[in-house]
Formats: sequence, structure tokens, C-alpha cells
Amino acid sequence: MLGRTALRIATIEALKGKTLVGQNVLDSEIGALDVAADGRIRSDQEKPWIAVYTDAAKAEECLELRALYRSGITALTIETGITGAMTVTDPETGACEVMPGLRATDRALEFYLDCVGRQIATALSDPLNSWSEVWRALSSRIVRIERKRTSDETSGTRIAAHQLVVMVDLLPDPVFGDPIAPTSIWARLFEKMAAAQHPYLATMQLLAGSPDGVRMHEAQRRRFGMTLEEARALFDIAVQPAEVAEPDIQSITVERTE
Amino acid sequence: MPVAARFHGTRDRVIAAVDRFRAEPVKLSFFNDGTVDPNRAAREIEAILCADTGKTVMVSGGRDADWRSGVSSQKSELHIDRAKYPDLVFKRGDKVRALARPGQPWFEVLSVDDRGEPRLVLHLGEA
Repeated sequence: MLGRTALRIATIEALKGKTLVGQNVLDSEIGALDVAADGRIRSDQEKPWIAVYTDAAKAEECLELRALYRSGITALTIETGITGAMTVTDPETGACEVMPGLRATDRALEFYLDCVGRQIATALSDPLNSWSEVWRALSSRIVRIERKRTSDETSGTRIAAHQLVVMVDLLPDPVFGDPIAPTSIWARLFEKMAAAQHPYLATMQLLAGSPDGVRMHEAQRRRFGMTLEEARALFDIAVQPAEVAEPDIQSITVERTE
Repeated sequence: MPVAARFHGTRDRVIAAVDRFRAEPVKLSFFNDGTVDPNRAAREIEAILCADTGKTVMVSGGRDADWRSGVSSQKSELHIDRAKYPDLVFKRGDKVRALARPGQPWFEVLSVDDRGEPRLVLHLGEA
């Protein structure tokens, strides 16, 4: 769904370069992160990371008729992790630091993750960051926040990770073929994606549909998943003989007859 | 010094013979709470380094299905001849560098088996 993808894109773009992990903000990473044995050839991808996922969603309220475009309460999962191998190692002594001056002890790993957690909150609520503004505008509110931590060393390295689950009331997807108002969040998102030359832009716009030749009642019926009979009963569609052509209503005059 | 058992002479000869074929040079770096330990100088020894096959686990170590990110890593062990290096004392957090392996990777001591009889065994993680 476009809303879920949009929320991830906005989260990732808002966080890139704003935390200790730098540009290593990953989208829906499935594969395991692996760290090269040779400390000299390690890339940015092998450093501490943030991974962003949109997880389970549930819409239970305000579902008029068959409104499949609604997103509902959606879990945005942001995981931050660091392993013993993702630290900066002194090639002579083997001493490791999670950041300059901070030795890679267990408590330093935990502190590092708390710092990144704090930076995530700061970045997403930054009033001057335009991607954060998109992030905020994609939901009507945060319903719940959960934070979890985990750590492990049985698998072959010291790992510590934090998980932030933000349950947001995500805006519904744009209705297929319904014109996107220039002031809407979708117009702003597409504009920003175009400026960033985002590879998903063309596909997302295709999925949003073109309003060309789409009649109003068709978009309306899509929005609520109305059957033809329901649309007719609600007069949400032109009277039956004109249904195929949809009259072009320029103005409405109300006449009162006492 | 511990009391010698009757088989120790034979044991020491067997271990030394095995080491001649399997031991590789490693550098030991000692740490105290993350900083270099001034009381135990870094040194190079020969010991048997066994790296397990790499394994992929969730960051939680697989105990909790709620986590999404995974990490791939290898457990390793260092087997040291105690008769040859009787003075070595290790602590969790010490480091081992495999000098003969590509990239000379560092390992971190996660735990120490020092009650085992023939050899001192260090359980290592990637560092």
C-alpha cells in the first residue's frame, strides 16, 4: 500500500545523516548483516544500523461500506543495532570504540543505542527537516509507542539492539484516479521524491492513478467500495439515464417553494 | 603449581605434537574494562584457532520472534597448550588476532574454559 511505503520512505529520508549511524538506514532489510573479517575493507553497511519496517496494521473504525484504501493503525518498526564487530578497532592494540573516546564495553553499546534512539525522536520531530514534516503529515496521530531491547552473544558476536514500535494512525491511500490536490500530502511527497530522484516515484504515481477521464462518481465509488445499487440509492451517481455521461454540473440553484 | 598426574608427560608430548601441525600464530591483546591492561602485555603465541561455520540469527539470538533484523557471525575457539604457556590468564573482553588469516581478523574472548584438563579453551566472537 502506498501509505505504508510512503511512511517508510519519509522515515528513512528523515533519519539519514541525522544519527550516529550516518547513512546506514536500511529499508525492510531481510538478509542478515554480515561484517567482513578484514577491518580495513569494512563498508558503511557493516557499521551500526537502523532498519525501518512497516509491520502489522489494523483498521477497525470509520470503515464505511468497503473502504479498502484505509490504512488503519499501523506499526512502524525502527530497529537499531550494533555488534562487537561494528566498532572502530585500533589495528595495533585491538581496542574498540563505539564513538570517539568511548570504549566498546557492554554498557557503551547500550548507551550508543540510547543515543541513537534519542536522535531518532529528535529527527522525526524536527520542525526544520522537510522529510520529517512529510513523516508527521502522513499520520493523524501516534496511538502507542513501544520500546524493547535485546542482546546476545551466543551466536558468535556481542549484539545489542533496540526496537522502537510506533503505532500511528496512518492516512488512507489516495483513491485510484482521484485527483491529488496540490496541497495534499501526496503532492508534497511526490514533489520531494522527484527532487531526490527516488526510484519508486514513477511506480507509485502509476499506482495512484491518473485522474484523466475518471468521472467523479467512479472515484467516489472506489473510495467506499460502493456497489452500483448503493451509489444509486445514495444519489452519489447521476440519475440512471445519464450515468454513462455524468452531467457536467456547473452550479446548483436551490428554489424554495413555500 | 598443581600436582602432576602420571599421564601428564605423555599428554604434553601429544599436545605439542598436535600443535606442530595445527597451531597458528595469534596475537593476544589484554583488556581491562575496555582499555588496554597495563599489567598484561600483549604477546604473540601459537595456538589452534577453530572458526565455526557462519550462522545467521535474529538480533535477539532467536529467542524472540518480534525482532526483524538479523546478523551473520561465526563462533570461534582458541585452544592453547597449557604446558607451553602456563602463565597465560584470560578474561572476558580480551582480544585475539589471527595473524595468519586473510585480513588478520580480531576476535573477542566471550568466555574462558579454564577448568578443562588438556588445554585452555577460549570461546571467541567476532570483533
